[in-house]
Amino acid sequence: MTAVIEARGLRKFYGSNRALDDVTFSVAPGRIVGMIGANGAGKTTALKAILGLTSFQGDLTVLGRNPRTQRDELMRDVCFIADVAVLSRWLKVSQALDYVAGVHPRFNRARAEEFLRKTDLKMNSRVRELSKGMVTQLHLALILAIDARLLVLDEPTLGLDLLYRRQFYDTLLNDYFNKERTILLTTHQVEEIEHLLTDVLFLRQGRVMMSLPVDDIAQQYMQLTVDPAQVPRARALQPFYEREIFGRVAMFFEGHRAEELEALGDVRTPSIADLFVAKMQPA
Amino acid sequence: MNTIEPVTEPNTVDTAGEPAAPAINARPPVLRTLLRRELWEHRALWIAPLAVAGLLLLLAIIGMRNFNSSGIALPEQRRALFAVIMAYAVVPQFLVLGIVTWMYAGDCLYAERKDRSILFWKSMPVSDTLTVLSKLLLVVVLVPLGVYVVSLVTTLLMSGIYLVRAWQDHAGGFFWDGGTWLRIQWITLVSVVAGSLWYAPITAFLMLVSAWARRSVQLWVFLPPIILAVGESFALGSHHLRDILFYRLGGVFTHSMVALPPVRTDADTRGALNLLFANIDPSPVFANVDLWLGLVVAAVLIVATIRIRQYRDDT
Repeated sequence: MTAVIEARGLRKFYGSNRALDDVTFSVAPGRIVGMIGANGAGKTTALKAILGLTSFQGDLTVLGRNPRTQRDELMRDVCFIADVAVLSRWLKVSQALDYVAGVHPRFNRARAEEFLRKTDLKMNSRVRELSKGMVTQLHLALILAIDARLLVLDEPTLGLDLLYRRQFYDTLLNDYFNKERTILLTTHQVEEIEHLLTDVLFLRQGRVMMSLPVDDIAQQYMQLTVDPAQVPRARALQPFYEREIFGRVAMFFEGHRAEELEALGDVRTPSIADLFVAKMQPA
Repeated sequence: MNTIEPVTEPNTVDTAGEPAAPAINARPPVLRTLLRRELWEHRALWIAPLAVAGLLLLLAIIGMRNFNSSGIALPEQRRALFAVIMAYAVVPQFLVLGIVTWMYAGDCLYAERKDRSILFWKSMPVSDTLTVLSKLLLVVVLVPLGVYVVSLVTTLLMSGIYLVRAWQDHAGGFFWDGGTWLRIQWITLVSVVAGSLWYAPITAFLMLVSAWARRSVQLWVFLPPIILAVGESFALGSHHLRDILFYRLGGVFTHSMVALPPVRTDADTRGALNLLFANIDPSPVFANVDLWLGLVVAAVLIVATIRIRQYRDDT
């Protein structure tokens, strides 16, 4: 199947700051890709390039279209939620429904209203009267009712409390995602979305540090936790990162077989969050 | 996973010839939704003219009870005077029109960046061209015509109120001159249309700055022309830019209004208002080539505005 997103050699400099520096990746249909990076790593710039919201150099195709010149066509098939508070404060809930119903050919109003009925939102409320969590619910109701092929989420749950965050991702997984749909998202709360990602893409200073399916992490990366006595022997195997946890030392290895390490201590597959930290701060 | 998708199945009957065509729900034209959106956000566009209309009608009800027309002997002149007063009582509505359209044009592409909602609007399948053109259509055509209709209704209601009150007071003479009234309405309508087109390059310039400026739109609207005009007078000693700006701001009628018939002010003829309006023909205003040159400038500015909006995000 052809890729949903095909990016080759993306570059975008803000003065001397390299937001994107030769970024190449592709996203296949039906994947849930987490784009993970520190602040200023280029995540938002990459997403904006994909959505046709910013200029860049390099080749980028999204669903077979050029986002720079065909944004309006592309948006029939792509949905986007940026860090929540981007609905206008004057907008009423009913107006938001009228608007999307009026401009989007794939919007199912009944579905959005059904979702809103499960919330406390009232049709004549204005966005300025809503809490941040409720604004997110409204935005989510609009987006989930659009039959899109690619959903792009940029820090969608930033500033939300735990209940809203959990509800957001549960709704996304249970009501929205299917094999024909692809999700690309960024978030700081990696732990919360680990279980739903199929692929990860680490960015650092505008460059792709690592890009692979979550299922492959177990084959390529190991986290070995050893007692202090074993540290010298373990270090001889050249971990790329280590840190102390409750008096023991966790070491991260790439490309080793489990049998090599098991003799020294406890071996497990690192979490995405741990792997990210390990990759971002090489020992 | 449960993915029940009611309603939005592609209509295979309609698209039988083009299997790749996307499903299109039955819905009003996108443009209509975009125009509604503008009126939701910029409520002053319709609230302000209606508020002025309400105020004028209130004044008609509680205000002055009759007109001192004793100096005009002939009943047909008194009727014409009444029609003129009624027609020009709604002039405040056109001043308000100027203010709200100026404010709107300067804000319509700036507010969405200031509140970052541009990220939402741009996530919808609406082109930048259609977005900008919808705003232009609203501010240059629809709002001026709408305000004209409001003024028409207002002047009719005001006339009715005064006629009823005159009738109650047993004032002499029937205060209505339909011919003069219609004539004035025609002149007003032409003036509104011509004025809106005359100011279109200024409107387009406001929209351009609105799409471009990161802050202080009105400052960017005023400062560059002023600085350039002052600079011209210092550097070259000439005032071409200043003259062009004053010419354009002065309005189409200051230079191209039809020649008024000579009006004498002696007692015999000063009441010849009905004849005066019968002789005014506003249509030559459209023969002014500067009106059309202004539209060309406006078109260039709008194309630039569309280009800028294509490259704009929330920063």
